Amino acid sequence: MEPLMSFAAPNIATAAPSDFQAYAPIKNAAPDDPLLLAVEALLNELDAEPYETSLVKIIKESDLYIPR
Amino acid sequence: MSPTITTVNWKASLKTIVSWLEKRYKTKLVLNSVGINEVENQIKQLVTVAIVNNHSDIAHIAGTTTYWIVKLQPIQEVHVATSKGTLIVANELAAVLLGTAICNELLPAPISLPSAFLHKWASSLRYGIHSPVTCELIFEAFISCNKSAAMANVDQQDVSN
Repeated sequence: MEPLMSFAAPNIATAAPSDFQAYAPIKNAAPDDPLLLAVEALLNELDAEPYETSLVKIIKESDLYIPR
Repeated sequence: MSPTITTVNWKASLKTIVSWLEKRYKTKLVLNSVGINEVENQIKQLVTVAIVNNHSDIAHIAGTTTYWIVKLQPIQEVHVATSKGTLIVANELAAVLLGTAICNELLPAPISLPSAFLHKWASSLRYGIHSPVTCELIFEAFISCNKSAAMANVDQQDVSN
């Protein structure tokens, strides 16, 4: 029986992390795309926060992140 | 605010956010093509040619986009040896960050969502009940607060002059 849908998924045992980008090929935006610039500004703002009060630390120390 | 016609290139921006989440949380995330197509089908009419007349339209685009990414979960975690952990709210965080960026692209002054609030909202989107309208209202509230603060700032400058 044919599967309903299939992904061109790489072999997890042997694949490098970069191999997984093939799941949903999405073209990069132009460097001057207004939304991309807004995203980059927002991410830079988050990176500029002191680590103690940063989103990364808050989430990592919550039950929304499971360290391995 | 005069009407603006714009397009929202959300997919490439979502990819950038996903890369950021991967680096900060040391995990491996992929964008599932079926999920991306589903989200696109839901918001296509909204973002292909977005006509922005006022702040409510911006909140509507941001809120609806946020909701459908959360609902359809196009971001998946892949277990690879280099992963250091699992970010349970990858879709929720990416959706909220993308919604915020949409507001910031279309508004004259950017809004800022505190990290503690982003954490609470991501958790609520994961475990609570939401709709496109509730997401829209949250963005509308932040936009309105930002506008009020900007106006208060202008008033204060007028007084000091």
